[in-house]
Amino acid sequence: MVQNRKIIVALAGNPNCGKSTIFNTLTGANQRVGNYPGVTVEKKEGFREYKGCDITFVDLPGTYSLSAYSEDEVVAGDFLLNEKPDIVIHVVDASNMERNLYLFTQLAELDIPLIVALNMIDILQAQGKSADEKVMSDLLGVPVFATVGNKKIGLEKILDYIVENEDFSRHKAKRTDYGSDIKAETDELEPLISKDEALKELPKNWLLIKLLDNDPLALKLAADADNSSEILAQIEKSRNHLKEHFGDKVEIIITGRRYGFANAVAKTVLKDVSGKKTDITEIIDSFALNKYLGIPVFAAVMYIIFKFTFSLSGPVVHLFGLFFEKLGGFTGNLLPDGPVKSLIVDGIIGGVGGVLSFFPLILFMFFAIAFFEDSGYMARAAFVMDKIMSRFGLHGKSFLPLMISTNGCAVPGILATRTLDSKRDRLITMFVTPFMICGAKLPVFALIIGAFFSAKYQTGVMFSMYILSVVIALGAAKLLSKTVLRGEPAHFVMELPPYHLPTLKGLLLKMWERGWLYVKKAGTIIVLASIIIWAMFSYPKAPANENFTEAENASIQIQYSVAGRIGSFIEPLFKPIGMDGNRAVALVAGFAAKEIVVSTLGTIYSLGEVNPEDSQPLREKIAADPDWSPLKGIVFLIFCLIYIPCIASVVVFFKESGSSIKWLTLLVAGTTGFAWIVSFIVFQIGTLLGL
Amino acid sequence: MEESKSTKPSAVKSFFKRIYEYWRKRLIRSRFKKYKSFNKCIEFNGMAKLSDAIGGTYRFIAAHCDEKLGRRLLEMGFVPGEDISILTNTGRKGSIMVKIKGSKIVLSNKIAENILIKRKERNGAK
Repeated sequence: MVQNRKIIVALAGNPNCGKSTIFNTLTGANQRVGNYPGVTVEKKEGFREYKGCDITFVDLPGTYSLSAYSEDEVVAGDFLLNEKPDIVIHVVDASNMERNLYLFTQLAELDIPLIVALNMIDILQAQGKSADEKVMSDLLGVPVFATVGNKKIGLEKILDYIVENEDFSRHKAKRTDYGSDIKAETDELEPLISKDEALKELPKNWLLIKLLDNDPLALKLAADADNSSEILAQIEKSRNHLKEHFGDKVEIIITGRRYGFANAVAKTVLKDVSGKKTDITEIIDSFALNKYLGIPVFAAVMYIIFKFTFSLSGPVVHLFGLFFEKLGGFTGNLLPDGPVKSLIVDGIIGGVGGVLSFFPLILFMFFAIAFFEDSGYMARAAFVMDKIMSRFGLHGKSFLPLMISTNGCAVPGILATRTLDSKRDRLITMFVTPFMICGAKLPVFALIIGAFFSAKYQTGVMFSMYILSVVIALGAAKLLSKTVLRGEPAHFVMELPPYHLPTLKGLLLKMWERGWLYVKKAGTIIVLASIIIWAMFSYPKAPANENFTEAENASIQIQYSVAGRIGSFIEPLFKPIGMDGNRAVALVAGFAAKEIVVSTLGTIYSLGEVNPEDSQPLREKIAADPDWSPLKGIVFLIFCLIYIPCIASVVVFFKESGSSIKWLTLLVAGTTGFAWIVSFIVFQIGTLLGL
Repeated sequence: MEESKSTKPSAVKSFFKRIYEYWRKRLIRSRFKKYKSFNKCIEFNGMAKLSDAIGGTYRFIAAHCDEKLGRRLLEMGFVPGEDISILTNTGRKGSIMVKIKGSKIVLSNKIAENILIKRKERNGAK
């Protein structure tokens, strides 16, 4: 055993095989998340010191194979070929062994030391089966370790194996036998590729079979070779020959052989031990995917997420708010009166506090969503929603961006549209994603609803606002798919993973990662915008008039400031929708980020207060303000919901739509115009009804 | 007075009954039509489209689509001769859930239209 050895370990496996759980358990919180150059795939690295060795774990994206047809597969293939990790842990879902071993047949050809982590062995046992590791190890030619990722079973053994063995090449992974016909063709191809220096460096078996398999990556490598024409001609000849021989495409033959190998291993290894079969996935699916119960279950899950987000986080949100209030008061007492004090107390602490006090809310929400994502329900939700979504010209997968945007953030939501293959579906989804109530809009909603509705009705009103946002988003999607972006949604194929209980650690890590993104945004753009807005409200200074009281002076100051002037300038536009200049200013400020609507209202009202140190919550001020009424509050919310998304979303939208000015203009003008029209209708009807 | 009271509800009742009958017949007709055509298709051609399939276990024959999707289907286990069980089919514009190689896969109906399946033989001949 050599001390201070540096070992690089890659984790490969299918999607949903529990790879991330193992990765999290192996590395703890000691992770680094980055991006692979040029692509959107996340690169996750983790570090662990074990028995004097520095081990670096790389979590490769989950793939079904290593062909170069999707970004994930290209990234995983590139890493294994070029970076040459010391050893690869192939995580196999024991309850779905055949499909998982298909990837093994490809990993085995790469000539990289390999070990198999036979994961979720407990689920296999619950299904009344058992797997023999010893037999499996003999069949595959590599060490096999039975593990249960979320209970930390078997992971020590893997670490011990990695640390104690210096030379992993002792074990040779068994390669698939493709039969004599394919062997004859690869034998003819072999001397040709050995002629080229670059191709000689690559794993021979991998290259040969991939060339026959018509793999884009391998063909590209071959095209760069010196004798490329010779090689390509031979491939063409071999493929035609095989096609004639088998009467089928070579790809189908090769895949068939690989699955044949996987099937044989799975059949030999798996044994039925008891007749008792409790397939929890089947039981849950009989409800979750039921023809009639599917949508009620979906709605119930969404409601659980709301409840969890709002009810449980309440006390924590309250504490955070109290903390920032006290901090403001404390700093206010320390500093002498003047512009600096106003900047720090009203501008900075007020702005940051307004945003951060909702941080716990957002963390709770991410936790709830991560739970349903990791447990495997979200993929089913996409299936349940598909028929409805396609009716609105959307794709079943469009559900995910909308979901991330709901309560989350439209920025990752827009980025998540990358999972959609067709440009049309992507554009429609990107357009409607900002209509959802994102985490940044939540503070605004919480403020207004909290001000005008008693605690009994708050959840109900909030829920109906969610429904309204969905109706608007779907309506807009339908409109777009009928007008600007005509066509049919693209088609999809996806696997429904078996259900499993996510680990607390994994959920917390995911929650923190996403929540931190929000804070990072809050830390930069929002604080800056808060200061700018504070400045806009404080300057130019109105001449102090001693005939007036402090309160009157403050309100004069608002009208005198830059923001007040802008507000009164655009006020006529906002009059028909029941808004005064103050709210117009807050909405303009909301373009920087939607949370700022709250902090701006806070700034406006705290400046207008007689005594700024009197810490009455903003919602009470609004509730008492005669300029507001429940109807005006609702119209304000509706306008907030629809009008131009925040600057960050607009920028991401612009980049993701292919830097097209046309779509950008449509987004900016369309959303704002639409918001005005809807608000106008609601306000006028509401006024007529005497609300 | 008594008569008018008794006739009025019956008129409403018959009205609703007529609507109910109409929709029930329509539903049955559509189901029957689909059922008949799918089974006939399998019977006469020996194969049928996956998109028309009704519950049961069949064999996958081939998928006619572009290379990228074809490869993806292959990797997900759509190998010729493989058993494929249809779990749910939500019909045109919807999607279809199948079980192949031990896991559930959801396909949109448009893709399923290009996939051919045949009846599963008892003796397991390909």
